[in-house]
Amino acid sequence: MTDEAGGETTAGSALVLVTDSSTVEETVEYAARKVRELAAETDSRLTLTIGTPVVEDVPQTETPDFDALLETATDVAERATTLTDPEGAVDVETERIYRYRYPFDPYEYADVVQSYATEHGIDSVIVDPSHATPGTRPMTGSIADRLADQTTLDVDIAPVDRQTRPASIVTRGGLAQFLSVFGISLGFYLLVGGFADVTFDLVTGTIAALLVAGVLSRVTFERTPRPTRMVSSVFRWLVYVPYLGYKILVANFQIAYVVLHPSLPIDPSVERFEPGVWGGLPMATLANSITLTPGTLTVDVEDRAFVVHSLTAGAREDLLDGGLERAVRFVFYGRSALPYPSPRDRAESEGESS
Amino acid sequence: MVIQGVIAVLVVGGLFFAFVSAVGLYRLPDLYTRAHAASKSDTLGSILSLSAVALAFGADVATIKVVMLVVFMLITSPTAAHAIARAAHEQGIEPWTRGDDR
Repeated sequence: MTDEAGGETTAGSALVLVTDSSTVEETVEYAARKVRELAAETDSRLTLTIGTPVVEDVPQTETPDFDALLETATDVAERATTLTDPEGAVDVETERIYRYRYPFDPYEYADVVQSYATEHGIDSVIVDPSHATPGTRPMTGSIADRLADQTTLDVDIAPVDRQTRPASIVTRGGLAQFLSVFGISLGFYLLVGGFADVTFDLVTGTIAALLVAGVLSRVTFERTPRPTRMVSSVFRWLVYVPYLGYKILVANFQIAYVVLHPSLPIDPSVERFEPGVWGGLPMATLANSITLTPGTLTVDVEDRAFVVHSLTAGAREDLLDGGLERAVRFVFYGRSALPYPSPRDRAESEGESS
Repeated sequence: MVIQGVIAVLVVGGLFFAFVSAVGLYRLPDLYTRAHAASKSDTLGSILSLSAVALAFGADVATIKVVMLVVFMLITSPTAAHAIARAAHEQGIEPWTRGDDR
């Protein structure tokens, strides 16, 4: 075996993708066993690469400790291979599969995995069934589905006992969430009630708010609410809303001019750009703000790109200057996220690199 | 007196943008461009009118409710416009561009 090809033979080498999930060890063990069997069958030397995604540029997202994760995975893989294979026909390697600019998007991730695999002669990939997609909702399908659809690799989902629930809906901090939803509901109830009969409103309001919080508190927040963060978030919204109002007003005058002009000087077109915000609420806020600002209308979100219909060239310029996007980044990520290239600059640098 | 003047300006502004919205709906060539006029100018018209209402109420609980109405309009109006445009997009309706017939 070692005589003919030595360590050169890589055909049949596999990549296992690990992520922050409770089934990591099982997945890696399965992958190690699989590669080991394959090595024995084909009588060749194979490599099992353990890959983690590196998620960059996602402010305020709790990034898992990938170093520790890689270490655990390597341990498991080495134990699994050396137990059954003292000669060491399987090399265990670790690799960070870098994603250079955007955070986790299953489509882009599949591309990255594909190009890595092509480069390193890897033809099969083993995926953890609970591999999640931080920053995006699972509506685009699981990693395994995407990889199967989009790559030429042989995708294998590790048969693990699925202990995890879908993590995106249920989050920790149940009590804080309950109290927050309860407080907001009660406040809203009292406000709408108009303080006419406070005792009555308080009693019925408490009952109603308890019901609302009981039913909805587990799906209301994406993260555990913390008072400090909520205060600063409300403050940032208070900055954002007047800014948006100003934008709406100015742009409305421009549209009024265009619409009332005898020759109707419009130049509609459809733009496509990837917004610099991630996650459900930030993306929805930006999309809605774009629609609110006259002259631009978010038509659809495809993969990660916004499809925006614009009425005039001026509105288009405004959109690509990214003022709104920067404002939404400020609301969700704070002041530190303000220096960020505009959509136009991003498109240009992308054009250069490709 | 001053407040009444401001109210009058707001109401007139609201009417103006409602008018722009109606004209735009009539003049613009296709669904997408009409969605612009129908949703955005109209939103600003309603917001200006509602602001006038809020000012007319003065410091009252009703004012808070009117402000909430404004907030809800700001959320629902673009959502509706987006839903319509998206439906058209998924039906494969091509947007009108300069050079097409009106």
